[in-house]
Amino acid sequence: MNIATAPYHKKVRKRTKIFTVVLVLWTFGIFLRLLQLQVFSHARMSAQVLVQNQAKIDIFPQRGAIHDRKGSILAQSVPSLTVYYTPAAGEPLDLRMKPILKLQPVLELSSKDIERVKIALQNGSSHIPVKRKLELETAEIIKGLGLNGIYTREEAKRLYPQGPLASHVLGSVSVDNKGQGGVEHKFDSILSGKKGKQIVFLDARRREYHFETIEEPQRGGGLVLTIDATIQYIAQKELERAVQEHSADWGTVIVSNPASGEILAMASWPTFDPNSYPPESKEAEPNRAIHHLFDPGSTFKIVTASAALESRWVPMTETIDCSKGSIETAGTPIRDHKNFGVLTFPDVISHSSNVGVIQIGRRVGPKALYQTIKTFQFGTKTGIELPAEAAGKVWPLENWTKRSLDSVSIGYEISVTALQMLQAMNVIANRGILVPPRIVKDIQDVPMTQKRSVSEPRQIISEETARNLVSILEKAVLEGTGQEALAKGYTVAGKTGTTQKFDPALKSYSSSKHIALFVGFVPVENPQLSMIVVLDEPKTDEYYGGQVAAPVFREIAKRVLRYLNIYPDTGSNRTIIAANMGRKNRP
Amino acid sequence: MIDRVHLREIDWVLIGLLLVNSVIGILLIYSASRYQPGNFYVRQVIWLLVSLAVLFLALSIDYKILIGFSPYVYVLFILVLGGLLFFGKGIGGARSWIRVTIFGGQPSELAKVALILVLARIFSEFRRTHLSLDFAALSAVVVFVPVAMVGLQPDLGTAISFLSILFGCLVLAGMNKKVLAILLVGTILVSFTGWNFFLKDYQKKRLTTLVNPSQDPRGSGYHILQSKIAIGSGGVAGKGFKKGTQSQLRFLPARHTDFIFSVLGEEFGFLGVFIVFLSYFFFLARLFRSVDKSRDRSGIYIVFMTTCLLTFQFLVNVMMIVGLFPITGIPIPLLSYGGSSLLTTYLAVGLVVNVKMRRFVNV
Repeated sequence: MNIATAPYHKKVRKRTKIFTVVLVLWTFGIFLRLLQLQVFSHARMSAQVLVQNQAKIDIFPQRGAIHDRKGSILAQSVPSLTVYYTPAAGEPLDLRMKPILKLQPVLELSSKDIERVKIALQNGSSHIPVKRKLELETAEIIKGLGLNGIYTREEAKRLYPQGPLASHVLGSVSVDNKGQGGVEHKFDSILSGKKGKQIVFLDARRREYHFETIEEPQRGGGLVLTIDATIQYIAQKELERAVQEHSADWGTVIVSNPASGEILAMASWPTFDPNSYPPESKEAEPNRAIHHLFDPGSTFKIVTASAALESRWVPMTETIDCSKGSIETAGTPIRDHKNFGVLTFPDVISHSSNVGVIQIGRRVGPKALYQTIKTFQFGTKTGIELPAEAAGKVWPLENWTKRSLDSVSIGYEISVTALQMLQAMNVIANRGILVPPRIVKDIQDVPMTQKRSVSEPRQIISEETARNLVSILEKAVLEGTGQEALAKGYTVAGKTGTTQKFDPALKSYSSSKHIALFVGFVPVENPQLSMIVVLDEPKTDEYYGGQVAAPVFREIAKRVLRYLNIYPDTGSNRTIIAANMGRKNRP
Repeated sequence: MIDRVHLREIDWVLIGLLLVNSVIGILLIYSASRYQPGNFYVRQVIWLLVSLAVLFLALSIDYKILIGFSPYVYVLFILVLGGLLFFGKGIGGARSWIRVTIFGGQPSELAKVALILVLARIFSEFRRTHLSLDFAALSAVVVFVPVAMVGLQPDLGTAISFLSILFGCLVLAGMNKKVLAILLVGTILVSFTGWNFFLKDYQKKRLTTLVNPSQDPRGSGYHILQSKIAIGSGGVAGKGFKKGTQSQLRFLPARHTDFIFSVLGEEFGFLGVFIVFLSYFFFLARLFRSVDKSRDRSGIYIVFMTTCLLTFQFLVNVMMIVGLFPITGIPIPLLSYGGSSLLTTYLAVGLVVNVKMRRFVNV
């Protein structure tokens, strides 16, 4: 070794040593850091691993089906696939949008859809629905494309195979399969079942590689409605025809079985197809049968009459002088549409004389009339199993003005729903027994305790009163205002109504805008059907309930009675059948 | 050229430690990339054999001759690096690759060896006990030219590695406090102007997210965060070979290259890290203890600068992985995947062995 380098080597060794010490300290610092990470924050870091590589997701159960009373399907859930996108973390936006743009022609995405996905990406969403509820075939094509981060998940799609049939009763579902309107909304918790839970394991590109179910989903219960699809179809068709014929604004028809209170059909026009919900026009959505309030007009005279009979203030044999054709009231005088002369009590009702009914009402007095109105459950919801039923408006006695007694006795200053009016008519058909209407026949796959209890039928007016009213209403159809309602071969009882609409602009009842009504039942002796027909603002020359609504009653009744195999109970038909049966029975 | 005496003096222990660490690296690379296309661990094995062959080939040439050629080699590399800036193909945003047949290579890695040799040549003439300004300036210019070129690629990690060679060299030459102060001021000036004029946005972001990685967990804080999660979730004993969820599920970026140490921390835990630290420590310590086993000054410089470079890369990479240093793309020598890096390390260690085996020969 070179002598000259010896001290130099010494110096080198010294410098190396200092340098080494510095480096060892440095290493020690790193070791402390490792200790902190691996030992002290181990639990926290492990938890974070789980956070980023697991996700809890819901498994959606199959939504229960809805059937009509005969078992035909009104609503059911069918499998469909929804396309989701989970972007890879940390990529720039335009790169993350690439798979979506590739999907655009296949899925026919609108620029609005693209924008929505873009916004979701900017917000850092990890599961973005690209297009929901696709046909299974389309989904297969997408799988074939093999795009990164694009995957499909099964999601039930609600199908209404009968289209707009009973749409207002059924309602529909939102994209998230939440019930919207109708029984879909009212029974959402039963129909939708119970969500299940699943843990998904994800890799860094948020792709799933393993599933574990923690909680199985419970499928939703099914509903059986009292609706009969055929009757519903008839009612809807006839309603639609009448609305168009008379250029009415809207209309509604309810058909029920009075004895059981079961609604056989509930139609409302304008209507919509629940397969494409929400409907384009807001007008189409409300169920007019239970949402819309109107002054019942002359149809309400059955209530005044039953108050008179029940209180025995006015006997059936009473004659009432209607010869003046009008009657003085607190405001403007109220007139009849024609001069009737002197009428018996039954004729006052059957010819719908305002002058006569007001006199009857005055003899009954406000207290008894009010009592009867409450007894008939006006101002109270019928309790039908549909959402957002209107209760109607009955002013309390203390709010009544001088004119109120006269107005109320002929069906003004009071507002009701079509269903309430039908319920009142059913009381008469049932000979005084109130049977609350119902639309759900059975709930499947649900324990009995969860089912709704329907309030018991009860006698609210005497059978005698009811029988008298039946005979009056039969007369109204045979001889009075309701003659157009007569279905040939059947006995029909019913009451017409032509209501002047309250015009909010004029703050009085309009003389040009009307609601035409008919409510009645058939056959008289053993009522099988009851029905109310409401048509709003018929714009033809004919606008009386007897001219516009009564024929709808007749047409529907004719077809439905035939469909239900109910034999005619009057006229020549009856004798022929009797003769046939007699011959058959002969040995 | 290589005679018996030299063969007897070959530091087999050092070469053994080199191999042990390389094998550890290959195991980790296998675990981190076996599910990926590319067969990285097979390629690393091939690179290992090539590097070993090159090492022994280099041993046959006296390092004095290599030093003699070093200015030409240096100029050659400057030309190549300059050419890369204009014609280079970008991989991962940096124009640092030359692609010949199937194996690509990064000339900037091999430039480290050239730099070590040329600095050794400069300082072999240096006879004073303390660093003088002219030598400091000369060496600084020699280093800063490639630093600027590589930094512009932009490959900040390699550029910083070059500086570590210079730093080692100056320390050995007896840098006094005044020069140290000038260097520090210079560094601050360079980083200031660099920050404002040269650094790309993503590089700046990396620096700022170092301070607070959770401010942007999906963006540039992602790498640091995932690395810390990987290491932390490994715990004391680790999750087991090939069982690290962070790497196997690809949460970890650059698993088989810059972040190989995170894979180690996750799968083998604190104990595994300790063992690898130990084996690496023996390797580096062996290098440090070789510093005075040289017959002349240039040899001392070679050994010291090599040691300095490898230690620096090791420590900075681990700091990066545990979130103490911005992510600049410095691989761990021997452990990270990368042919150029492996070859460079083998060449550098080969120089050390070369110096040691020829220490008793008189010129």
